[in-house]
Amino acid sequence: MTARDAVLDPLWRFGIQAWVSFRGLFMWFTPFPYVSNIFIAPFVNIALFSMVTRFSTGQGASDQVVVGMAVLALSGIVFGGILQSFTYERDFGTLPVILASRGSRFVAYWSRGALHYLDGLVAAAVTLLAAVVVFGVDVSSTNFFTVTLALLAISASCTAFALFGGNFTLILKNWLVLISVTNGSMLALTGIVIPRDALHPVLEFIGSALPLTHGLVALRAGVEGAAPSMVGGALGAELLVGLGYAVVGSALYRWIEYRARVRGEFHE
Amino acid sequence: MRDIRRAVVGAVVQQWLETAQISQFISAVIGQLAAVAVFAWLARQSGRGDVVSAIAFGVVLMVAWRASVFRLGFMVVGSNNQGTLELEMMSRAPMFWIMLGKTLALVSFFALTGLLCFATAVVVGGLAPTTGNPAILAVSLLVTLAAIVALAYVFAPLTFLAGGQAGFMNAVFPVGILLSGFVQPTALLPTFLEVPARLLPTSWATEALMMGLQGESASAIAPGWAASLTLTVATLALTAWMFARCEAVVRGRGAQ
Repeated sequence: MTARDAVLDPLWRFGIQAWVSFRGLFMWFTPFPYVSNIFIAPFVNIALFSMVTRFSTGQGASDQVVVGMAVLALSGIVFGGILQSFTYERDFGTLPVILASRGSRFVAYWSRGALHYLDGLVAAAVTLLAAVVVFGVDVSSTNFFTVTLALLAISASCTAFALFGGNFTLILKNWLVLISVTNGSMLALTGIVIPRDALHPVLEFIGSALPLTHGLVALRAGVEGAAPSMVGGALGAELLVGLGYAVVGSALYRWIEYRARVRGEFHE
Repeated sequence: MRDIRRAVVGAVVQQWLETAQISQFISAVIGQLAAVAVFAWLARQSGRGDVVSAIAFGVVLMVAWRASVFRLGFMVVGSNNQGTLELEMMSRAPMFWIMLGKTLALVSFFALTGLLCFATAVVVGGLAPTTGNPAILAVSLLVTLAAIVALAYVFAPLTFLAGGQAGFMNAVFPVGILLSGFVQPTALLPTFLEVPARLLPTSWATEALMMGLQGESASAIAPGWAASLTLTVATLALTAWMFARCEAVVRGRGAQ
């Protein structure tokens, strides 16, 4: 086996599948919808919550809340992209082709998240820039290396979580309810607006098992100047959450394949 | 006139039967409960019953508008894709009235589902809501619902004329909620946002609603009602014109 057989060919197939699935199954990847979802919607959401905060407390939203809302854009675009990709894979009739192929299921599963991972980083970067320029978030003491590491970890765990959720869209054939639940959970349970210690213990526990929760702690600390060594625990927790969803999601995908092959399910 | 009345009533009944299902209820409510809880938690920080009231009533209207506009936004597009648009155009009743009947059913159903969000907002808000004069509140709610019907309905032909692309509505929701003032006073907006907001019937209606909750008199609120109703009629007229454009497009190129 040559190096090409062992490394280059699998990478090539992974890249091709990642691009083709992104281009063919991500229905928001046209000019106006893409601009709406990456730029307009996240920016307006920050403005909306800032206005409600001002109405309620007399003061605008704190930098912490604005940063949290900006990163919510990352999870929104990753969830939206991956969940609809899984649904349309079944709706468009290409799922049986994948399951009948000899190709690696690991490649098939993870290639569907690859470009959405990068898309999430783009959304976060754009919205954070808007948070600084328009909403005046103070970055005079920000440790940008910590912020970058936090964003990379958050996008990874969100991608793993979205892929895990994608399995349920294959089962339920509906991604709209699932994306509503996931986006709502991100907003309410990860500490973006409501401090986690203000939540009911059960809700706080659920939030600790969601992506974004621990990474947000690291991100906010980085904005205030913390070095990576000071947020290692939060970053590690974020990656651990992502790893958990990666393992369970991959196993669930294999189970779906088994049910499809043995019982003929999930092909209509 | 009798044909139009029959068409509207028939469309209301058909859309209500199609929409009034548990799955639609769950879909509409689940997606909004988290945001409602967050808004209510923010209102709780004010320690003021009128703020909690404003947000509690506001989230009902927000849910009704958001859920309705999502379904209306792709109704004409969906009919076109499924091949039923031409059949609807063959009806003697103009498409405007048929779709208006569907809009009334959608807004009514999702306003009812919004009651669960009202309860959530009151519980999370933690303060007893104030209502002001009940008669003024009732009038304000009716005026606001009419404005919501108009502002949701306009997206039925608009989305079709804009190409009906997936993801089109995702920017519409937060912009519409922000400019309509469902959960914050329109007067808080910066000038460059307040100007376009004042072109929407919902912004005047929600402002009048909040004034009523704060105990303002009918004479002080009436100009807001008048402005909202005027803009509601204007928005419906614009929608009628856009539906005429939709029919012209389909008659010219055929349904696709």
